[in-house]
Amino acid sequence: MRKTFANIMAEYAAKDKSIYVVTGDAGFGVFEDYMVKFPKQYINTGVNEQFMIGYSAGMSLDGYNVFVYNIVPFVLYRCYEQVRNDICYQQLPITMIGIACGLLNTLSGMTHSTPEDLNICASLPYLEVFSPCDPRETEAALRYAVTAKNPIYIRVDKNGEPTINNNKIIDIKKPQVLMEGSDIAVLFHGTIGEEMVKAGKMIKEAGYSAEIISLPYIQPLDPEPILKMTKKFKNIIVVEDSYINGGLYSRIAMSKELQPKLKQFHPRAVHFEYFYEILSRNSYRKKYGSDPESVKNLAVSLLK
Amino acid sequence: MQNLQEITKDLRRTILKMAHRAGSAHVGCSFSIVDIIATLYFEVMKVTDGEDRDRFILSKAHSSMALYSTLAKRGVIDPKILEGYHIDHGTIPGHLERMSCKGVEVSAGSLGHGLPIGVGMAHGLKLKNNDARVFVLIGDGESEEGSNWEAAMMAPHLKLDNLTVFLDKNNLQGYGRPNELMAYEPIEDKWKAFLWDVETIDGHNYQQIKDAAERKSDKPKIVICNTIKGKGVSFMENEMKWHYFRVTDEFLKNANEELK
Repeated sequence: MRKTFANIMAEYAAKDKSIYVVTGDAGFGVFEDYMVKFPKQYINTGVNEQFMIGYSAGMSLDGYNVFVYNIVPFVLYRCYEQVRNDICYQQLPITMIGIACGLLNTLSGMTHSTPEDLNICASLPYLEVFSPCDPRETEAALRYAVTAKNPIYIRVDKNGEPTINNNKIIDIKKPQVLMEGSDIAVLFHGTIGEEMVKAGKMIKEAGYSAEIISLPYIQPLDPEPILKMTKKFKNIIVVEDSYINGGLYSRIAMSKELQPKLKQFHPRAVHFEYFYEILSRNSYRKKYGSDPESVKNLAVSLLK
Repeated sequence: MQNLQEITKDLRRTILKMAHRAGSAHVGCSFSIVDIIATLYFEVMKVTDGEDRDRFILSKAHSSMALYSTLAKRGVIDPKILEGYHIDHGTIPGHLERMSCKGVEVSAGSLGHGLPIGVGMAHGLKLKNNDARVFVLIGDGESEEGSNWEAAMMAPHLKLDNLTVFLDKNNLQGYGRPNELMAYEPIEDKWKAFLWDVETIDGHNYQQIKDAAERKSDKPKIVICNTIKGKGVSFMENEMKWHYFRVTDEFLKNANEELK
């Protein structure tokens, strides 16, 4: 998904001189071509996240269409107050691309794991948040961001994710059905999608039919399409690599339209804790019951 | 040069009135910078609605009254707006919010935000070949924020000869004096080491402020302004309490006596 970002930026930068890419010492293997082709539309500010965001706000106030690229902690955490005051409070249409979201980096340690990025986003009015599941959804989110008038955060993974959303994406702000089904729904966001497609196949092998749904647009949450799901499905499993008290499930629980239906939703999310065990992402998913086998077992137990 | 003596006396009276009406603090820190802001707006800056306007960022935005009153005096905003300062159902908040008030370029209030934004703004203008200048005013206590030094390291690299920072060195912060809390000095040498053009002036001398702002340099400039917190009213001068004290009826009467 990182290459997707560089390619799309190059496409827009070639026809629009206001496109401006900011990175804070990140992007090895991503921007080499872009920075040569568009030296006046790119800066690496170095290791200084507060400055990186403040600088971006200044460029935006000058009329530039700014895209900030860094790993999630350095685009949201270290510089939280700059994101809040300089970008969101000032309602500047800056797009922040957060790389290595969720549980991708658990083996690197807690400092580089980001199960709480959506908790932080939930505290930022006017911020629109995308959690795409594959390069195609990332591309659609970026194309939306180029013309959007609000601050935007797009949380993405790394390089080499497979394409799992093969639909024609008409509206990236709507739920994306990756596998159709009739017995139960699995609603997820982000790159756990690859695992949820596996879960869908396992549920099928167990004799049931699951609808696998990606929700790339999480904030502000649109309750209407999810409300429709509650009418079609008695049970909806909500799976995410985010803390249970800040991710998609918590937003469903806080939605006045969806809250009365909360018993129909079954969360499989990251527990509200720091990671001290040295485990891979998939091992943590097993721990939290969000791996394909566990999701299949939950589905089967709900359908029996 | 316009009669800045009279203009700034009037601005100080306006600030007292605003703080008295609102029951708000930050009179002393507004008085220490009002001469700098007034000189910039009346003698230095191109003040227009267009893209060619010079930009001013008040990073130590708790001193917002100094900017609001100057914008009104300069004709950028209707003086009536000042009547809604920092009051219930008012017009403008205690710290700056750019959409509430014409002429406020940047929303600010938390220290250490203005200079990074100013560097971005100055760089953007240069990339667009826009000759407008960017002026940023920071405090001496504010200089303790690390984000300023992140920006300080980048500005000379970007060759921002269109950026001038004024440092309000009134030697009093919220709860102490900078050099008593940490190894604050030598502050000039610190900025020099970051490759800035550094100059120290009397921050209440209009001519020195004007000359420093107009002086050309091929580097970003910082003008360290020796100032007095509460300048203009004897019982407020160099007193930490006037970071916080409210202007009572009696204070207002006594202060206005001195500002006649």
